[in-house]
This record gives sequence, C-alpha cells and structure tokens, in this order.
Amino acid sequence: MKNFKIFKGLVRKEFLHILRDWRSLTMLLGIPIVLVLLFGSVMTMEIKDANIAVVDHAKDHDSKELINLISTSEFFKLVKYLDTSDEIDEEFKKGTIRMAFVFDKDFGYKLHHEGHAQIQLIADGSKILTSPSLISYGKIIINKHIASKNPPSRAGYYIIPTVRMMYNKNLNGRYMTVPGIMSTVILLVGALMTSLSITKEKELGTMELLLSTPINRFLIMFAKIVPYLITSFISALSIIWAAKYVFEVPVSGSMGLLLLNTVLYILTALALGLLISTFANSQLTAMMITMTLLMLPTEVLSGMTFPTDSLPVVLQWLGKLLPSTWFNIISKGILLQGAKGGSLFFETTILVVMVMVFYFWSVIRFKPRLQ
Amino acid sequence: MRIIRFIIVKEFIQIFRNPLLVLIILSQPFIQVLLLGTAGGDINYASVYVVDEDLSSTSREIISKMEGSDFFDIRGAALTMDEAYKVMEYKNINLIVHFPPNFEKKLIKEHSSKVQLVTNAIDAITASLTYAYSSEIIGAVNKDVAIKWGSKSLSNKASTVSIPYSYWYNRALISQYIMVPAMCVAMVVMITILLSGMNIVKEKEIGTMEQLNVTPMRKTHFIMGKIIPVWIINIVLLAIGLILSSLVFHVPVVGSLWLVFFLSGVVMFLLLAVGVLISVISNTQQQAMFFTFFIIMIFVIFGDFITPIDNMPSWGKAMADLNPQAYYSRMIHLVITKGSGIKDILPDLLKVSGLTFATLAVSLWIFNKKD
Amino acid sequence: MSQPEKAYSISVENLTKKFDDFVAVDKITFNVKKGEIFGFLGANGAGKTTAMRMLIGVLEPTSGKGEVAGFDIFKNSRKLKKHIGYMSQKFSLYDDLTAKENMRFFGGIYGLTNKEIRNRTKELLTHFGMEHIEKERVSSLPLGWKQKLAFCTALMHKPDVVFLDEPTSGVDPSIRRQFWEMIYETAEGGVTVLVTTHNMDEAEYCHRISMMVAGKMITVDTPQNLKDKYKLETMGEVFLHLARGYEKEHAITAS
Ligand SMILES: Nc1ncnc2c1ncn2[C@@H]1O[C@H](COP(=O)(O)OP(=O)(O)OP(=O)(O)O)[C@@H](O)[C@H]1O
Ligand SMILES: [Mg+2]
Repeated sequence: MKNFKIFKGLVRKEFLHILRDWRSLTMLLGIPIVLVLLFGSVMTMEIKDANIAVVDHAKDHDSKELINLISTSEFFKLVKYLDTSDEIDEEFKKGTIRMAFVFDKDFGYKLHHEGHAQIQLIADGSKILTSPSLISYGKIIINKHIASKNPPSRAGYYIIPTVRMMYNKNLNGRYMTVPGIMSTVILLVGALMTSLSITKEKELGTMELLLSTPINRFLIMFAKIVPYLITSFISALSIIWAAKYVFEVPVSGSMGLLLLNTVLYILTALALGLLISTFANSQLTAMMITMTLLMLPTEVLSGMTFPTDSLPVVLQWLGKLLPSTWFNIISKGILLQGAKGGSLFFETTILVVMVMVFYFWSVIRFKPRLQ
Repeated sequence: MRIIRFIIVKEFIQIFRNPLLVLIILSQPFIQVLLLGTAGGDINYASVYVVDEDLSSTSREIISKMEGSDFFDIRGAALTMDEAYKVMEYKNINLIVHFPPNFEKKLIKEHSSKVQLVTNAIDAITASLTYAYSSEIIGAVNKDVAIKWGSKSLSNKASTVSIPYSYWYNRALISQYIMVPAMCVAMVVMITILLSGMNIVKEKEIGTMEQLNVTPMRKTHFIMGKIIPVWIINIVLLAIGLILSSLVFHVPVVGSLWLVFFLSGVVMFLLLAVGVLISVISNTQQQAMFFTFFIIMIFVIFGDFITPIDNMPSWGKAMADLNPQAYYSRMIHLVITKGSGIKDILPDLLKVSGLTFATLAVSLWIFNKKD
Repeated sequence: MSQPEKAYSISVENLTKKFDDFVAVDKITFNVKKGEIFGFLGANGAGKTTAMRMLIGVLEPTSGKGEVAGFDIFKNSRKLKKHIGYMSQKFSLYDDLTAKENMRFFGGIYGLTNKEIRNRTKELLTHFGMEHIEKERVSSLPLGWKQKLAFCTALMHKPDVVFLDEPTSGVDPSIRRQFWEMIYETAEGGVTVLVTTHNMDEAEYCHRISMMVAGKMITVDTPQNLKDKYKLETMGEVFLHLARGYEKEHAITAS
C-alpha cells in the first residue's frame, strides 16, 4: 500500500513535468499524427500518368495507333516526341521523363510483312523503386494490343490470367504504408521520449538520488514510463483513427485485440528507450543512439515500405531484432486479414519477451553505484 | 575570425572528450551505409503456392518457367484452393497460381483458357509486380505454344513484337548502386541536423549561453563556430561512406568525385542552417529533439528515399521542392550515376543556396529578437 | 584608452523592468563608485538577477537610465560587454573542459591574444592559489572551487566592473571566506564589484548594500550605518525589520 502511494506520487510528478512544457506536449501528441497523415497521403508506389517520351522512327499507322493507346492509358502520359535516341539522355538528366518508347524504322511494315517488329523500352535505372513496374506496364499494353490485332484466322493460343487481389482489392498502397509508418512513429517517439528524459535526469543527478532511496527500483522505472505510456496511447489512438477514417484501411479483425497489442508495442518502445538511457551519457548521445538504431533501420528493415522478403538474409535477421517488424505483422494481420489472436500468438510472444528483456536489463544496469 | 577558431577548438575538445559520442558518430557510415546499403529497396521476390488441378504439360511449363525466374519462389503446392488460402493467411504467401481442371484441353479446343492468379495485395507494389511478371511469363508461354501447335506457314503465323528493354545508367539494375549513395545522403542529413541542433540548445540548457551573451562575441561568430565542426565531421563521414561504397559495393562514380564533395559541402550548410533554426526555436534539448525528429522524418518522406517523388501528388512535389534531402539525393544521383557536370546541377545548387540564406536569415532574426 | 575619469562606475536612475504586467524591477536608483563592493540584498524573487541582467546588457530595460563603466546600457551594450565580467547565478562554465581550457576559451572570446591568455591565466591562478586545478576537468571539482574558477574566468579580460550573482550559495563557510578575500583583492585593484546575496552575514562584507523587496530598492547605505540607524546587532535583523516595515506600509496603502 505504501509502495502504491509512492508510485502514485512518482507518476504524478512525471505527469506534471510533461504537462508543464506545453510545447513538448503539443509535439508529443501532434507529431505522430501529422507524420502519419503526410506519409500516408504521399506514399504511393502506384504508377499513374508517368511522363514518357516517344522516339518514333516509323511514323506509320501502326506506330501511331500504339502510341495513342499508350498515352491514353492510365499509366502513361506522353510529354515529348524526340527525334533521336540521343536526346533521351538529356531528358532523363533534366528529369522530364521517366521512360522512353523507341519504335523501329518500318515498324508497321515489318509487323505485317515479316511477322515480327521491335519496340525498345528505356527506363531510368537509377529509379530502382519504380522503373521495373514501368517496363512491365509498357510490355503488357504492347502485348495486349498486338494480340488483339492478329486476325482470328491467325490467332495463336492464349492463356488468359484472371487476377484476384486478396485483402486489398484496389491495390491501395496505403494498406501497407499506413500500418508501417504507424509502427515507426510509435517506436521512435516512445524510445526518444524515455531515453532523453531519463538521460536528462542522469545528467542532473536526480536519477541517482531516486535510485538510492529504498523504493523498489522496478517501481521507480515503471513510474517513469507510465506517463509516456498514456501519451503514446493517445497518439496511437489518433493514428488508428486516421488509418480507419482518413485512409480507409479496413479493420477486419478485432479492434480490442489491436489496441491490446498496441499497448504492448508501446511498452516495448518505452522499455527500449529506458535501456538506451542506461548506455547514454548525454541527451545528445541518447538521441544519436536512438535515431541511429531505429530510424533508418525501421524504415528499411521492418516491412514499412519494402517487403522484408526482398532483403538479404543478414538484414532479414537484423530486422527480426526490431520490435517494429513484429508489430507490422500483427497490425497488418489484424487490420487487413482479420487475424485472430491465435494466429498472432508467436509475434505477440516475441514482443512480450522483448519488453521483459529491455525492462529487466535496464533495471539491472541502473543499480545505484554506492561509493 | 579568431573568435570562431576558439569556438571550433572548444567544440572539438568537447566532442573528443566523449568517447561514446565519437564512437556513435564514427559508426554511422558502417551502420547506415555498409549495413543498410545492402538492403535492395527493389522488390525481387515473391513466394508462390501452386494449385494444379490440370497436371498437363502446359501447366507444368508455366510452373517451371516461374521456377526458372529469379523473382518467383515456389514454396509448395496445395490440392485445393481452400488449403492454399489458409497458407496465404498464415504464412503470407504472395501468390497462388491455380490451374483449373481441363485447362489444357480447353486451350487446344477453344484457343484460349484461363489460369487464376490470386495475389496477396496488402503490399500493393509487390502485388502489381507479381501480376506483371506472371503476365510476362504467361505471354512467353503463349508464344511457345503458338510455335508448338500453330501453323508452320509464315503467312498464317501470328505476328509478334519483341520488346527489348534497358535500364540506363544502371544496366543490371543493381540496387546497391542506387541505395548506397542514397544511404550516404540519408546519413549526412540525419547527423548534420542532429549534431547542430542539439548542440546549440545544450548551451542554453546548461546556462553557458547566458555567459556567452555577456561577452562581446557576435552571434554570427558563435553560430559559425558551432556549425563548422559539424560540417567537418560530416565531410569525413561522407568520405568514409564513399570509400566503403567503392571498396565494398563497387559503386561506379561516373561524374567527378570533387563535385560530389563540393555539392555535399554546399548542401550541408543548408542542413546546418536547419539545425540552427531548430536550436533557435527550442529552449530545451527535449524540444529540440522533437523538432529534429519531425524535420528529419519530413525530409525522409519527401526525400525520394523510400517514397518516390515521381509518384506523388502535386502538393507532395511542391513540398519536395523545399526539401534539402530531395535536392541532395537528386544531385548526388545525377553526378554519381549519370555523370552530370556542374552545369546540370547548377539550378539545384542555386536553389539550395537560396534556401540556406533564407533559413539562416530567419534563424538570426529570431535569435536576435529573443533578448 | 583614455576614458574620462567618471565619478561613478555604475549609475542607475529609475531603472524598471516589466514582464507583461508584472513589475520585476521597479524604478531603482543608485550609484556605485570605482573600486567599491556593492551588495544587492533581497529574498528570492526580489528582482536582483533581473536588475543585474539589465546592467550587463542582456536584458532590455523597460524604462529608466543606466550607465556602466562609462557606457550607456541602452546604446552601447556591445562596447559595454568588453568592460564587464559576469558570473551568473547558475554555474556556467563547461563541465567537460579543464579549468585552463575554460579560461583560454573565454579569454579568446574576449579577443585576448594568445600571449595575454597565457599570462593572465597563470597570473590569476597563482594569485588565487589555484595552480593545481589547472588541468582538472571542471566536472570533477567541488562546488566551491568551481565558483572560484568562474570568478577567475570572469576576470580574464581585466574588466572594470564585475557582476557576481549569488557567487557563494551552497558553498561551505571556509571556501566562502576565501571567496570574499578574492573579492576584496579584486576591488583593491580598482575593480568595481556588484554582488547579490541573500546571505545576511555576507552583507556585512560589502562596502555598501541595497535592499530589494518586490522589485523596489527600499534602502541603500553602508552596513554599519544601517545597524546604527535601527540600533540592531546584525544585518539579518536590519533586513527583517525593513522588509516587515515595507510590507506593513504596503498593506496599509493597499487597503
Ligand atoms: N523572463 C521572465 N519572464 C517573466 N518573469 C520573470 C522573468 N525573469 C524573472 N521573472 C520574474 O521576476 C521576478 C524577479 O526575479 P529575479 O530572478 O530577478 O529574482 P532574484 O531576486 O534574483 O531571486 P533569486 O534569489 O531567486 O535569484 C520573479 O518573480 C521572477 O519570476
Ligand atoms: Mg537571482
């Protein structure tokens, strides 16, 4: 009972601390949702109206027909006719086009009389994220058109793929990126908050003071993170709200399960921040460690934008050390696939283990040094 | 000038007095560039399950062509679709290829037949690439089938178009050639802003700023003395990053290496100005931490790093026009991968300088107004 | 540098500072002679630091006049800064630098040449018997030594006036005495010292003191005169007497 009273006192003190600095509080609650809104709105890999150039050496009926078809498709927008292939380089460097279609001389003649013609597609190899898709879409349009042009008497054999997009009928890119940015932001804000504020107390010497009191260390540490648990949970709620109502990410599974896992994930972030603060010797180093270990790694390794399966094996393993990788699986599972608790048992367990390890490790490292 | 030198010396002494900080700073190229540079950023993998109810030579040909491609990884086969759906839910398979019974018979008799592709579309990009690549494979099989079963006479053969494609500047589409310079850019952006912003605020927090205000030192001198060490550190980090990128990843530098350093040096001043602005508007390191985190995230989001600017709506492109990281990464890619000279990047350099002066002017204005 | 010989090193007339509606310093007027040790006495929040920050040119006064070391605090704050030294209430040297590095840095900021810095550092440290801490990191020094070092640093550029804001709070009595000896030696060298404190014993050491209550300067005189005037034994009693009297008077006018 006495312990509980002390605990309450500690929590209240921490809370006052946060509430007093309104500027930090606004940022604490505002930054996550703003980042999610921004990122969710601009982050898309869907290709629409990509600027293209055409080099038409043939200038015949067939080439014109195909060019017309390409430029009216939803994927491409024709912005330039070029005379020679040399000019493509210039346009790429200026960034005016993303792809070029080069039609052979006598395209139509060859197509009808020799049964075989050629179109060359040129994309910018420095845009590894988008160029392969551009080439693929170009090929699909051309192939479809040529197949339809063949008279029935000459028709070949056509295997027609019918496609069903599971969990995300309209191929909405946000289904992946919104849960991804959510996990990144929650992790970083949580870890930064705790690591900085506790390092600051270390700098001031108040941490040492608290720890040398007979109050249970586990309790002190927990009291330190409770306020951030609450603020983080509020911002997580705002993010989930945005996901559901602004980005229309469906919630197929149970909202309760999602919230429960979110709390667990927030605890992981805070405990990780706690652990970092035990290594840091100044607020600057605390921030450097947190940003170094978490910012780019979560963005690249935890499946926020790139599927983890495409990563080299070493990085896949490193990714597994990040809490965000597991939370991404959990949140996408619940939101999009309607996964039940049972199928996410493994991922949840890993987060629980992480919280335990981070928390206990920090408490042990925070043993007050008696001189 | 002499005064600036005294400040610079003091800064370096302080940095080197903190071995942990030195370690963290020097580890940046190894963590961000060496490690994360191996992350592709390209999507090169999709896991496939097959439900073959036809077991014909055509279905087998499609499967073996998929197996032969680098992109698809056939993980297994299921007897029924229900079974395959379960696998997709629990193991996150990307694609199910379903050949219905009598698939081949229908193809021979009716010249067309359907194969069902079920993709896991949570990750919309992988899904669309999966669809594009499987369409390509099916297209190739169509041609083979036409040759095998079709009429041998030329006049009766379906006409075809070959579509050779190429990726300029990076023919083999080696993602590391792009990812590694991008990581160098991300590292420089992060470290420059972090070190400059937090470092100046620290003087406010520990009270030395008040002491300095009483000296006749000019604020511009103070700021120069504070940012030049950070500039030097980042030039060193960039050099280490570039050495790693050429030794380990063999990233070819088509343009001039001097130009890379020159433009980096210029962009760094913009980033430093941003750091100064952050330090001017924050009173505590915690506030600076929030601003820094927010700004760095914004820079990443609008920085063409994991989110292609090309695909963004126009307001996103406008935001990118204010983003140092977007300029930096565009110029670096122009020089390193496309071999552009100073003339090509001059417009960007001018805009960067304009932004630098604007940011510095605003910071100094706020700085002077404050007391 | 041939400054016209001024009668006063600090002269202040009706100096006022308002933070919005709150009057932190209310029309204070006083003069300090060259080489004098002048004390600001007052409880927490009385406005001592605020008054001092106006005199050193980092806080703009709301109204009034002020001249320090011959420079107008409104117009010449940059020139003024070359001629004054300041030790703030919050310890403000660099913890991670050594004593010598701190002195070197601040000397450099004040525009001293390398030779001047070397000589002055040596001179000050030997003079005050602190040579042995020269290479110590400031973080490892006890508080009293830190304060003495901060004082030395404030004297690096040979200021005409030094401002010391509660230099001895939290310092043990023996070091406090040493500190006051330093102040005396400095003042004997012709440097004017303005020092704030809420320690009443220290007030006795000042040549003259002013008492501040709620932003107002309620009296200015030598400690001896004050004690005689009110027939009290210690400065503490004088202060209590005056502060109570002021409050009572105020309560009456307010009602
Ligand atoms: N920047 C500011 N904005 C608003 N109020 C201020 C500001 N600086 C000081 N004050 C207020 O002015 C009053 C006088 O403060 P000051 O620091 O000058 O007192 P002090 O006599 O130095 O007290 P102490 O003994 O605690 O140092 C206090 O009530 C304080 O809250
Ligand atoms: Mg004070």
